[in-house]
Amino acid sequence: MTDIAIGNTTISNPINYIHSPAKMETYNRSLNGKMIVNRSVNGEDQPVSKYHFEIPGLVESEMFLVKEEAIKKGNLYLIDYHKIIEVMSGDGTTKSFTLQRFLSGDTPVPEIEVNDTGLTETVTTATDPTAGNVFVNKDTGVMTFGTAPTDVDNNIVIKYEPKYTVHVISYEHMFLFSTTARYTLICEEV
Amino acid sequence: MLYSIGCTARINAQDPTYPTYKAIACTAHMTANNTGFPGALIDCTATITGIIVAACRSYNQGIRLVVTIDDVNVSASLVGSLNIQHDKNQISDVTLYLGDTEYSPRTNSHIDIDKIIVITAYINGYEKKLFTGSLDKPSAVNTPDFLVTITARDYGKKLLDKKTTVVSVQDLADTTKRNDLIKYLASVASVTDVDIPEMDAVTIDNSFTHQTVWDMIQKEAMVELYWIKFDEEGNLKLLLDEIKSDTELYPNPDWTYTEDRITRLGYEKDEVKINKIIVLGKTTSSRIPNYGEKNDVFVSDTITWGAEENIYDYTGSSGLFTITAKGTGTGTSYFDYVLTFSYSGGFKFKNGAVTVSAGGFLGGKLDKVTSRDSLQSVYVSFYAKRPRVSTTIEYVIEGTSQSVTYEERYDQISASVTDPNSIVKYGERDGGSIEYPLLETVEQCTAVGSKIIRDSHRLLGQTDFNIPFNPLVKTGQTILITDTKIGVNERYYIESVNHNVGFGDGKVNAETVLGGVLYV
Repeated sequence: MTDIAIGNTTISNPINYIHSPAKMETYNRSLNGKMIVNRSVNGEDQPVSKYHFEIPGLVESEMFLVKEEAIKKGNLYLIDYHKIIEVMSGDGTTKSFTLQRFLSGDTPVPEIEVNDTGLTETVTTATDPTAGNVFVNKDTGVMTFGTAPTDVDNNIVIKYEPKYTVHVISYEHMFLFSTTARYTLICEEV
Repeated sequence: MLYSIGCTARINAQDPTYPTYKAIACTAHMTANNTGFPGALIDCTATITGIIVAACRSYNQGIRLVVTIDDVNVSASLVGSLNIQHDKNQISDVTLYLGDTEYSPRTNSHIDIDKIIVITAYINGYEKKLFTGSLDKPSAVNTPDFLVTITARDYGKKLLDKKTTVVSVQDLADTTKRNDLIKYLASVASVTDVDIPEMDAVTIDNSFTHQTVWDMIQKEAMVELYWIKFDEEGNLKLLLDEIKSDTELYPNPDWTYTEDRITRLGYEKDEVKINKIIVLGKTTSSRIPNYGEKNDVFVSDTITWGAEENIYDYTGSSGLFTITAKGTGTGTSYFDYVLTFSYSGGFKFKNGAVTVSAGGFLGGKLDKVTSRDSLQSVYVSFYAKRPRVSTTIEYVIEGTSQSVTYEERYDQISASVTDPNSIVKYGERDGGSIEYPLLETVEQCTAVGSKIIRDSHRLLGQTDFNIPFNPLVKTGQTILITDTKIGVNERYYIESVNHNVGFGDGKVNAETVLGGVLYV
């Protein structure tokens, strides 16, 4: 287990850490039982999901720093050093797609596949890659493809380490024994 | 062809599965040529609406809404739910909520009455405008959750808000065709984007006393069996009130939904209200004369004017005749006069003679003037010497008199319409009489009566059902639905369309609720 960076605090080795994506979807059943799914999509028509974080096992010194930051700013950056996957759909003409989150940094470099074929990825602010290349801007999440991905559903798969923008929803202070307490921090992606 | 291309696309075929907008024919016109490159190659991209139909019928819908108020995009602040209600022949309305204090109507000048609101849906990558209208009354609450409630109606509101009197519309419009009358009436309420099919010319005066323009247009449209709709773009449209239940004329319904696409289906049956009605149309008036007893009239007399007496102002009488003389000119040795004998009452001239026995001579023969009421008066011109001497005229007038009185009679065109099949089936339901003064012919009365009877049979089979969000469904279309449990397997006429979009927890839940009516 690696550390988690939240705001300006590093939380070392939290155990039982949970991050869970919530798909922005609702489900209905038709009269004969078939499922009807309504998805929220963004301006690029990609499905939207938001992450939920539960960080238990914080020690008091870490908790106070997080509390202080959360109160000051409201929204914090959170990097948990775990890679996540995003899936997008090309339309044959669009070359620029936007990740739902920023990159954690210059490294690790995202792994991007279009139609199951890997591309050459570069983290840069430039936006003029040649064919077979893809440029990713780490501070905006914008990916620019040298060749527009074809018009196939779910053909762009990105594996990357994100920097989430989170809001501290609540925190818990649980006493295990009279002198032993445990803090739990609950955040959600804004 | 290097510079521009004019492209028209029209739908020319219907597909049984997706009968609306499936096939499209596209014509490209070249409008410019370049020397050396005479338009040999044309790149033409046609976006086929069939794809959006499939997108709307999908089980798996990606949905995004964009709401702009006064050109400001407020989509990011939408909370709770958004509801768009379209009903046939009614003004569509919208309710939505904004959760951002930035949009308080107290501080934000864009959130104000009559600001334009446009709602566009993006469904599975396709764009469809859902509503264009204007804000009604924005309100805000702070509980402490901050919420701005926005209600809006389509441009039908302009027609409803304008109350006025319009006299003789047919004289004010471009032509006397009814579509131009409606166009003129719409312009009175500042609605100029109209799409109205051509109609017949009106033959009677179309005037409206103090009422809403909406009512005026409804009355005009009713004559030709049209109903009013403001489309998603804000254009006024008149649509023919046809039910499309004739499967030979309309072999395919606009939409087909089976159980696997419906999340709820309701059915309701009520009784027939009217299967007999009298429709009264325009009223015409006529004047009918009544003649009294006929009597002979005979007068014989003389008039003498002394040399000093003025003939010019002469008025005398003999029996029931009034005799007047009027000067018509002056010659060097004669004065010209016209002598008129008028009878008070109905008089018919038969015979007569006038002679000037002294001091002048006649200018012609006795002649008669017949007035509108067949009352006759007799006149003759004569000359008296100048300078004047004593002048004598002898006259004999013979004729008959008959008194005439007139009666005003009013006739109203009407048609008594019944539905014999319905009467046999459900018993007679008399709807009494109803008056539409703009109906000009018996045929129009019959058509309106038939429509009223048909409308009253709408209660016999009504369904309402929820389907996945479908921004393309419109009032006036037909939908075939099948459900094995209720046993519904008919084509319904869509009279109401309600789009509900919820934004709970950032999740979108969108559905369309349709109200269908079965006309039998």
